[in-house]
This record gives sequence, structure tokens and C-alpha cells, in this order.
Amino acid sequence: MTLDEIREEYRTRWGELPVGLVCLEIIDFVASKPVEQLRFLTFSTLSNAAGRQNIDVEVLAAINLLTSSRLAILESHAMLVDDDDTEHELTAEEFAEARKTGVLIHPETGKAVHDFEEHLIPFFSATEELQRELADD
Amino acid sequence: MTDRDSLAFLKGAFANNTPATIMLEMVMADAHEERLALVERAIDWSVQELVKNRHVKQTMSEDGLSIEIVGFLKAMGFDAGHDTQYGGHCDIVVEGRDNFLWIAEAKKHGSYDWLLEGFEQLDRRYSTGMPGQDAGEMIIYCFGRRADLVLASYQTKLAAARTDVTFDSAVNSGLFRRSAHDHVSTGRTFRVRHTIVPLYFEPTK
Repeated sequence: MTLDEIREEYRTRWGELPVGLVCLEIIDFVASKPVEQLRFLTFSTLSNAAGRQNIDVEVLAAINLLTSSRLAILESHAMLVDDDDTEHELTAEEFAEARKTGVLIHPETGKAVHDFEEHLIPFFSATEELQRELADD
Repeated sequence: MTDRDSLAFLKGAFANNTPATIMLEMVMADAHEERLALVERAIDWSVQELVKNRHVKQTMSEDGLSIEIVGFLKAMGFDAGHDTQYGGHCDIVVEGRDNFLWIAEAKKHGSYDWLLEGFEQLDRRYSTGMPGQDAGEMIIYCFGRRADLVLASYQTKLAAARTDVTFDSAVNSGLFRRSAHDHVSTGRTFRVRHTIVPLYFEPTK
């Protein structure tokens, strides 16, 4: 499915709802960026893309649709940032285990990270399908 | 990168907002079991909203109530629909990536036969029993008194009519039940949550 077709699907199915309008703003933002700039999109990035100063519930709902629906174009990831700003991207399994147990084991030290949610940045990237689609354009 | 992108900040910002908390967790969920648990929480919240406003729901139809629930789900960013065609017109459907599919059959309680018919529709007509599609829900709108007793009677009658359905003995009171049985199509376990929505409203003053 091309990005134009995806945009049309969102417009048809959710275009009359506030969440749908935010989705369309974010889809337009994604379409305007080169693929290499679609690998680390934070909640703030997507909120700004939707013209919002802060992350609000409509942006949250839109990101939910864009990541978890059948028409998802974004995938969720998480980055652990040490006190010295060293970044470690977590595997899906590490992130899932931390959510499930409430304990995050540092991928390098093997020790539990104190107050790990303070150091964890959820972020999004274009799905592989979307990356292929954009690369073909 | 700013602190407002940390998970701690996001959780704190939405700590008192149940739908937002559900959405935040849904965004990060990557397994069907997580998605199922979050759909159920979203249904719980939607039901609470319906019950809070039950005084203006007294004349609503089954479809009208289900459409309200679908509206709540859509506003939360769920890929939800009403009257979706999967073997027939499903009352409430939530779909998701990786072939996630959750279906609810909703019935207004008028007779127990009507409710049992709803369970049969959910089980034999709409559900596929495939991986990621192996859980659903019976939603019972109850405008009479003591929804808890209605649900208990429904459980007894369903257990008698469908001896293959096993109810979770750990949940035997209150406003929901859980059951499981082998799906006739796939042989895989199909799980159903049975939720009753107490909409009785006859204030004495």
C-alpha cells in the first residue's frame, strides 16, 4: 500500500474524528521527510509535527492508531540513556520484560537500572514496509 | 531530546487520565496478550462512562449502546468498528497489527435465551479462533435490578447449555466472568470475558 493510499484510508476511516486529523498531520510530516530522518521520532517530535506544543490525548490517540492499527506506519522502540548521555537501544524483548516486571536490566552492565523510566525514551520509526515504500519513491 | 520524552514524564503527565494511560501502554505493546488486556481495560472504562450516564441511556437500543462504546474506543485510538462484516455483522470489533482481532457480541438482557444466542453468534459465527484472534467478549446491557444476579443466572444457563465451556472458578461473583473452551473451528482455546453493564435507573427521590 502506498503512502497516498494509507493517507486516503485514514481520511476515509477516521478523517471526521479529531484523532484522524492528527494522524493526517503526522502522515504528512512523515511523507515530507527523507527515510533516514524517520528512525528516531519521539513523542515530542510527533506532537510538534501535529502542531501541538505539548503531548495531549489527541496526539496520544493518533500515535496509538499509527503504531497499533492494521494501517500502522510506525513501530515503537525504546532507548536507555545513561547519566553520561550514553544511549542504548533496547531490544523488543528487553523493553517488553521491563514493562512486564518493572525492572530494567542494563544491557551492558547487567545490573538493574534505578528509576529506569526516568532514563527510558520511547521512540518510533517508520515500519520496514513504509521505509521500502518511501525509498522507492 | 528533553525530559518530557522520558517514560517517567509521560506516565506522570497522564497519571490521572485512564484513557491516556491505556493509550500510552497500547502504543508500546508488542504482543497480543498485552493488546488484549488493554482492550479489556478500554472496555471497562467505556462501561463505566455508560453507567455514569445511565439516566440518559434508558431508551437506547443495543446498537446505540454499542456504537457509544465504539466511539469511546475510536477516541482512544483503537482500530474499532461497529457492524464490521466477519461472518456477519459483529457488534464491536477491535483490530490491530499482526492480525490482532477481538470481537464482542453485545446483547440487551430481555431473556436468557437471547443472551445464549449471543454467545453462540460470538463463538460460532464471528470468531475465527486463530492466533491473535482467540479471545472475545459478551457484553450484556442490563436495565433491570441486580445485574450481578442476572450475570450469575446467565452463567448457570450457559454452563448447562454448553458443557464444553469452562468458567474460571476464581471469578465467581461481581460484574464479569471468564470462560474458555476449544474453538470448534481450530481446536485452539477460545477465551471469553462476559461483562454485564448495570444500567438500572429508577431513583426513589
